[in-house]
Amino acid sequence: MKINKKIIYRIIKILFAILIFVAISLTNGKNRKVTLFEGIVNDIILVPQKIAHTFNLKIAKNDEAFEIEKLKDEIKELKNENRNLSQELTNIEATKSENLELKKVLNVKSYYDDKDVIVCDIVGAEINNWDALLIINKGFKDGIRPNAPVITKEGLVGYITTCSDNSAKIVTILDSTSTFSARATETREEVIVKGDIALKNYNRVKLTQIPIGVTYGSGDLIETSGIGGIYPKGISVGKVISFEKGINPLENTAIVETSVDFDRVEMVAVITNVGDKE
Amino acid sequence: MRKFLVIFWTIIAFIVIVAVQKNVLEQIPLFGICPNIGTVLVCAIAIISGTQVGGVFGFFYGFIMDISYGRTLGINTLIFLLIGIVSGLLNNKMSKDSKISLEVFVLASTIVLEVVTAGFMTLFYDVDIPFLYFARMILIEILYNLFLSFVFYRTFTAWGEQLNKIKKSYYVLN
Repeated sequence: MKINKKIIYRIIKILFAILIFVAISLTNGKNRKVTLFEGIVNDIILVPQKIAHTFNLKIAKNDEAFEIEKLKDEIKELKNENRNLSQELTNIEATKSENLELKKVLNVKSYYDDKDVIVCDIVGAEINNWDALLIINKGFKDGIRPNAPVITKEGLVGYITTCSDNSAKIVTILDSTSTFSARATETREEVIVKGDIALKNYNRVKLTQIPIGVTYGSGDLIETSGIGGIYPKGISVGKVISFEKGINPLENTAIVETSVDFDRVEMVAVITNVGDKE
Repeated sequence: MRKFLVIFWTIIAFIVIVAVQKNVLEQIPLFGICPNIGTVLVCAIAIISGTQVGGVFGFFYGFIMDISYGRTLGINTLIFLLIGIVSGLLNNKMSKDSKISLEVFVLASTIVLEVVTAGFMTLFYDVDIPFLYFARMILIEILYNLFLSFVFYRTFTAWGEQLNKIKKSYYVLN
C-alpha cells in the first residue's frame, strides 16, 4: 500500500509541534547546564558579544571625559569626600572589631568569612525589552553551578541560570522574572523584591508585600533575608528612593535603587558553598 | 551544490543576525526599547517564499534565538514558526513587490510577538506588566522595526528569492 506523502508530512509537522511543547515544559524555569550544541552556539555568539561589551564599557566610562571644568570641580569634591570617608573608615574598623568580638560571644558565624567564591569577569550583557542578563567568562569546568548566587563588593547581582563549560549567564535582580525575599536593614521587616520591566533600565527594582502599617523613607537600606534558598542573608540590595501607597495598604510598594551599578559592573564573585553554612 | 551553499550561508547568516541583534540593536535602544530584526527577517522571507519555507525559516531562526538567550527553549521557536507560517499564508493575497506588504506584516508580527511573550511571562513567571508601559513598548518597537524593514528590505527579499529558487529541489518541503 502506498503511503500518502501528505499524511507523512502532516505527522512530521505534528511531531515538531509536540517537540516544541516538550522543550518548553522541560526547560521552563529550570536553571541548568546547557547541552554541548547549545554551548557551541553560545560560544560562537559570545565572541562578537565580548567585543561589543568592552566597547560599550569604554563609552560608559568616558562619556564625561570631555568636560574639563566639570572634571576639576569633581576632583575637588572627591578629595573632600575622600577625607571624610577615611575618617568614617577608621570608625567602621573600630565598630567591626567590636562586632566580631560580640559575634564570638553570641556564637553567630560570619557568613561571608566561610564562603568560597569564584571571581569572574563580565564579558557580555543581554538587556532587552524583557531580560536583564549578564554573561561571565567562567562555566561548569571552573566550578560554576546553576542557582549559585552572584555578588560584588557593592552588593547583590543575581544568580546563575544556565552554564556551559566555558561561560555562564546571570539573571540579575533587575530582570523581570527575578523575585526574592529581603528585609529592611534597620527595622528588619521582610519584604519581596521584584524586578520590573519599566524600571530595569534605571538600575531600580520594586519592593512589594510590604507589611501593613510600615512605610519606608528615602535612604532606607534593603538587604537579603536568606529565605528562599538561593541568596545568603545580609547582602546589600540597595536603598529606597520612593514609597508609593497603593489603593489598599496591601498594595503599597517602594522603589529601590540597587547598590550595584549594572551599567558599569566588570567583575563579580560567584558564591559556591551557600548550603555549607556550618 | 547550489542548494547546499544557500542553506550553508543561511545558517551562517542566522548566527550573524542573532549576534547583530544582541550586540548592536540591543545596545541602541529607542527610549529604552529594543527592536527585533527577526520579525522583519522572517516576514520578508515568508512573503517571498511562501508558507513552508517561511515556517521552516522561522522555526530555525527562533531555535537559534532560544539557544543564544538560554532561558526557556521553544518560545521563540514557536512564535517565529507561527509568524513564518501566517506571513506565508497571506503571501498570495498581497503584492510581493510592495514595501507596504512587508510593513503591514512586520506591524502585525511585532504585536503578536510581544503579546505572546507577555502572556508567557505573566503565566509562567508572574511578571507584572503595566498596561501603559506595554502599549508604549509595542508602539516604539513597531516604529523601530518598520524602520529596519525599510533599511533591509532589498537584502532580505533577495535572500527570500534565493530560498525560493532552491525550494523545488528541497524535497522535504513538498
